[in-house]
Amino acid sequence: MMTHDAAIDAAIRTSYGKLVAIIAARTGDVEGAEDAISDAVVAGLEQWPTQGIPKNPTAWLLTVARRRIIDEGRRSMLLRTYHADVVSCISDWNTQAVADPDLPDERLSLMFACAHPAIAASVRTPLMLQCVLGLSAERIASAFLTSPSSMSQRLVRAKAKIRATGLAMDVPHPRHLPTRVPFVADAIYAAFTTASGDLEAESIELARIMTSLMPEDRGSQGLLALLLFSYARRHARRDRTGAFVPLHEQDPDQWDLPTLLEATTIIEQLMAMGHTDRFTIEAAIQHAHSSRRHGGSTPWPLIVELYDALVARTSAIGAVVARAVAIAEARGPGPGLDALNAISTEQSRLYQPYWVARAHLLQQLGKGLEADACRERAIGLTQDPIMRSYLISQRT
Amino acid sequence: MKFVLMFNESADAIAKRTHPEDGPAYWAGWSAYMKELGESGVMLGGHALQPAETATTLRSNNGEHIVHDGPYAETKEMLGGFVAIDVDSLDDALAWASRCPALDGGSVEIRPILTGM
Repeated sequence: MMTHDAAIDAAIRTSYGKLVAIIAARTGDVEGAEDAISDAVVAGLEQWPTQGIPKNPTAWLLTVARRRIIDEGRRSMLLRTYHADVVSCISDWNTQAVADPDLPDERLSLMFACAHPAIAASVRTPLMLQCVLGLSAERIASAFLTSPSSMSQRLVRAKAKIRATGLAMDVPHPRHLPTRVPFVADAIYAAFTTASGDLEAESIELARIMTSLMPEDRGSQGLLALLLFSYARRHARRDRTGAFVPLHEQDPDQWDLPTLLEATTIIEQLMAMGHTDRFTIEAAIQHAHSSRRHGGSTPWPLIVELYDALVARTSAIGAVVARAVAIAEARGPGPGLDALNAISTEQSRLYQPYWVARAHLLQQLGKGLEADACRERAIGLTQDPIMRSYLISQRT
Repeated sequence: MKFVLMFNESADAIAKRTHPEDGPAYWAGWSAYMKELGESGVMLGGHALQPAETATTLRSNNGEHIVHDGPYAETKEMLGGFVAIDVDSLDDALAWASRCPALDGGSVEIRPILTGM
């Protein structure tokens, strides 16, 4: 049973992105939409605890936000006549929308705008987290290791660009979907991986919004499956004392079965259809790893084949390093090390997993001293204290 | 841009320095981190400091010098050391700070160095 506060919180959370999408789609002004909604949320937080949560909180918030936009419009109408159009457009449509309990869900358009190629790649994910899920700039800044003030600036600049360029706030024409969907998928994936696990649940929420609003799109299903596979193992990554447990030592019984089953159902459908984009291949790799859940052994040769296909599509260092580790499992540490040696120093220098993998393979080859030197580099580049303790304990 | 990273360590972390079991892992983490800073070419210099109880603080009260044992203010965290680095941006400084062992129970303060104005 949810507490009253939690119910209010949940009502606001699910409404937020929908409302930004609905308003910004009509005004082209994401920041203005957010300001208006913030005011509405404040009003809700003041009134709901005593008067109860309205039957349709989204419509309630929309009514308040609309009033604020109309007032704002009146104030600046002398300066900017276009506001008058905006106001009349919102008031027309709003009367209908509020009467209809099923408000349109236009968050997909908002996601496409946030991950538009015209928006700087580094700000697409933060923008989506803020506009669609309502996360604060402080929270996003911490997750992306940036100072809150500079994150706020980047977000404000991106929203100004959306407004100034009249960036299309709608779902692209089907013809353009294949080129535009990957931008959205990449931004969601970045939210999952960048934030050292802080935003995993939020990223899955974004992926779910995407799949539910675009049920025909295979690529976003592959992404959702991949995120779910990884999320299913979140508890197994730590042992009882909180220490790090690598995948091959994880107890498969600790994997979260319902999440794993959901991911498995999605990936098996995609594989049956012969779908092979980047995220689907990565999900298929996770699927192969999960065979241990049913008492099977890990099918390393299959995993190597999947990594070959993945590396052919992306040259991301993460994929190349993981492929080398899979090769070592399938064919021995020597060939694995050869695969690592193919990576340039420029790419590997500050990439912690590269040094972890290299130390691991050198150790297996009996080169303890060289392994320790690589492990030392990995330790010096590690952010997570739990991972650092694990690596220190592995020293010979 | 030049920054100083100030490593504010917890009392627990400082205690590990001389602990027979936890000491080696504590120093291993720091030495790997400092080595990586050095090898990446961003390091300008820095030092580890003795624990805060070894500090002596001098203040002036209306022209009269007052010497205290210990740090100026008691806090849960103490300055355990510092480095000065030269990197492209605050984001890069944050990236280096994020790898610092002081974050295990402590914090890292990042300050731009005052250069010619």
